[in-house]
Amino acid sequence: MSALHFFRWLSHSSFSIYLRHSTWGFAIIETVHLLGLAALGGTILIVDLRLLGIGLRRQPISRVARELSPVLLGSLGVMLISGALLVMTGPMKYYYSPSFRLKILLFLLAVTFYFTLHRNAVRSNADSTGFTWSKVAAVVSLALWLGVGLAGRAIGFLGMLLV
Amino acid sequence: MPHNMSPLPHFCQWLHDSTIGTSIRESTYAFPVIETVHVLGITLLVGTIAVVDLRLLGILFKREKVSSIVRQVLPLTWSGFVVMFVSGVLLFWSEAEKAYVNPIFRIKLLLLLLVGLNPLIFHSTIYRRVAAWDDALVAPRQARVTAILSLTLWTATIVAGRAIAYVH
Repeated sequence: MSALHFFRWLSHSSFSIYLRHSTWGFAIIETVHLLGLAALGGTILIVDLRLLGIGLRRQPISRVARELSPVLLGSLGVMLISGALLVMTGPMKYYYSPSFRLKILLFLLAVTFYFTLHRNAVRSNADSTGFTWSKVAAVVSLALWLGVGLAGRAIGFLGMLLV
Repeated sequence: MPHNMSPLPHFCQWLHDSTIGTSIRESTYAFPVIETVHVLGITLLVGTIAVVDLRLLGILFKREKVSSIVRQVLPLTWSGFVVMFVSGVLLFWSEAEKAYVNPIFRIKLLLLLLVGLNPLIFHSTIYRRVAAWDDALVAPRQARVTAILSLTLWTATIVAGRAIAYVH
């Protein structure tokens, strides 16, 4: 089954049709997605700023990341579920949106980076003042997640321009 | 609003029609760019506030001193406040006339007033005696009430902010 078939199948499902015709479906799901962004983005920002030597500097980097990890995983779950529901409100719109494709690509990169190289940087607890690979990891993580957010915002905005 | 000449709607109309208001509204990219900054700024402002709230509730960093968390996080919270205030004012500027009559915008302003009073009361009362409960895993009752109010009011503020665009 190709991606096109899959999205077509989604758009013909009764749940997708139900969401598309509901008045508040999209607005409510999008608001939950936004609240999830506040929690997920807030967590990532605090950890990455800590890697850069800003914010919670009296706590070791690994402890800051460990304390915040339940918030990170919980909000990531909220984002994935609300994000999937948003797609269900109009699967074909998302299938043909270049911003959506870019967002998925950046999201996969951001998640992979966060749970591999970024995690190593956090665990190494490198706390020197100069240039370190931990700081590079923080900047790359911030750039990737910012890209996910911007591409997400562009789905709605560019969609509006094209219609 | 031709028949209502009280100063506030008059001022909103003047802002709306001003050069800055009009250029933001009429540019293709200005509004969405400022709006994106306003949305992403939430992570800095509310994210850092939530860390303090969750410390007070004994959920995060409970082995750290409350005052240590507050002191380290506060500069970030203020930076977030500046980003949100400036971008928020610019967004309002470009659609002041519409915002003035939007009931959700009024609710958001009320929520912002409450969400601002909450830490003012906290810092001028129980936080003055923080030395007495700095190491406590869970903060005293009044501080916990402040934390729950803060998390609730900020959630409501974000929801109201999003809803402004849905209500015309």
